[in-house]
Amino acid sequence: MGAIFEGVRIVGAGQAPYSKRSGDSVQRLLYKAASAALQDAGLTWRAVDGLAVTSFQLPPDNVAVVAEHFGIEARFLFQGVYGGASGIIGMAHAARAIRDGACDVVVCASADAFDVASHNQTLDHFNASVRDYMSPTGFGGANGMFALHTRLYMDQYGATREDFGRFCISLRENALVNPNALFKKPLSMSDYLNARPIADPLRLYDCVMPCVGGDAIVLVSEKLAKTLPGPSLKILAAEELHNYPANTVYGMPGGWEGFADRLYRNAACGPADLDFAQVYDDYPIMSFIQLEGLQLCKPGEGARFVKEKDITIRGGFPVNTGGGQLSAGQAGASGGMIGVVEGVSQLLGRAGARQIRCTRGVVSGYGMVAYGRGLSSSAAILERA
Amino acid sequence: MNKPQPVVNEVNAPFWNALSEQRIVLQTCGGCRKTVFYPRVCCPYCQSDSLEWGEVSGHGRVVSHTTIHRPHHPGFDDEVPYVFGAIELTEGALIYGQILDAPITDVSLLGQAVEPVFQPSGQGQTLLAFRLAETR
Repeated sequence: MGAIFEGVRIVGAGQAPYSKRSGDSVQRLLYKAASAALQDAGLTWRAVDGLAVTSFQLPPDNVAVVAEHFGIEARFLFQGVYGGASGIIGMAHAARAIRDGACDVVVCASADAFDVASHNQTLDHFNASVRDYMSPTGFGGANGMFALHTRLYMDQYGATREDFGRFCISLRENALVNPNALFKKPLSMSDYLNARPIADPLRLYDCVMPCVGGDAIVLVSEKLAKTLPGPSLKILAAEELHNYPANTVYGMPGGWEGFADRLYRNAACGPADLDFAQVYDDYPIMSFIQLEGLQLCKPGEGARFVKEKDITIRGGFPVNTGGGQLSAGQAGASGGMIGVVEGVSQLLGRAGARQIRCTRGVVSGYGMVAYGRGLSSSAAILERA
Repeated sequence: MNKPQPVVNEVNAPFWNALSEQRIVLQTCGGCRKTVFYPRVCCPYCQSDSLEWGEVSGHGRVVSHTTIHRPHHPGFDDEVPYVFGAIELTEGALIYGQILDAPITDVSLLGQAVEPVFQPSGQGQTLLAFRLAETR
């Protein structure tokens, strides 16, 4: 099963410390996250011959300059330009490069050092369509855009604020046992419902907090993985899809529904065979759409899924076991990698106090907000080897 | 505080120039006859480059809306709260803009008819906004 990435293993994951503010540059955050992931794998920088990097604040540098900065002679480089879908896309591209013999050890790392103002400044110029047709009209940034989606979803499926609240509260519960999560206090339904309004129907706890941080994983050839002391993971399948469906701004698509059948067919397993999901939770609405698109529940049933399954680490189907971006913080492009790092740590058995029993899980990404929607979606199914 | 401004270029100049004359022009594909927004170099439905500019009414209906309390740019700080919406024009394009004079409450405006308002941005560029058609 899952022969697409034959001969490739994930062997480590790590993070740079998350913080609300820090003097660290993105180069330093990438270095810290990558070093932690290499240490987790039992490898040193000397072994690295490939890099996959995603960071909004990296320009004018790029991944080749990161290789130079770190002194890496690289046979494979990837730079993600798909926002929060990039982490998984970079991982898949790296896996293909290793499978095809181009390189042996790839560090996939993301990092950014955002606060609310710098996050908004980046989004205002994210691409020409946001800059020219969204930002000048007062769209409210990502909050405003996803408020529009949230209202549509609520109208179409009858979802309530409490439904989204339950998702956020569960993630907070997971975050309380994640030392690298920035939110340290439990969230009550009353806190959630009465938080200050941002872009109705969204209030404060529906919106990720821009922050500073970095996330990384290490991929190696199976041959090399066998020489390492720890366990390793297989990538059973990975998919990416962009601008799907074309020319649709509204409706509830996110792209995952366009490849889920293929993802499971390639992985030779189904949604029922998964032990967790780490979804891209920039807003609860997108998490529901991912759970639905990845066939963990039917369209419009995200709220019921969260309610019936219990998505906390003690629940029937844990989701975003580290608290996700909503409770750990969104370090820019690292938002596309934080779920991968969490999924890898869980499957390697290194998730500490929040460890769940698991052998297989799905990770998914979403990004490149453009005219009214995110353009890029990605997902992968990982399994303990 | 200045507001963010669109970058006017060879692709979108007819749209922005028309707004400053209180007219709305959009592209229509000479191949498949679909209305296209935002302005493109080719039709995103059939990839033909025979796009023609034509005037539209600017009337439409609210597809979704939000009340912005925390804007994305300090240039809007003095205007909150305001209502922002996604509008489907009668001619078929989806376009974003503020819905002026709409109630700042949780009242649903979904499906409501809107008409265009030409909104000076304060820095030369006229923007397209809307108001509820019933409010006239």
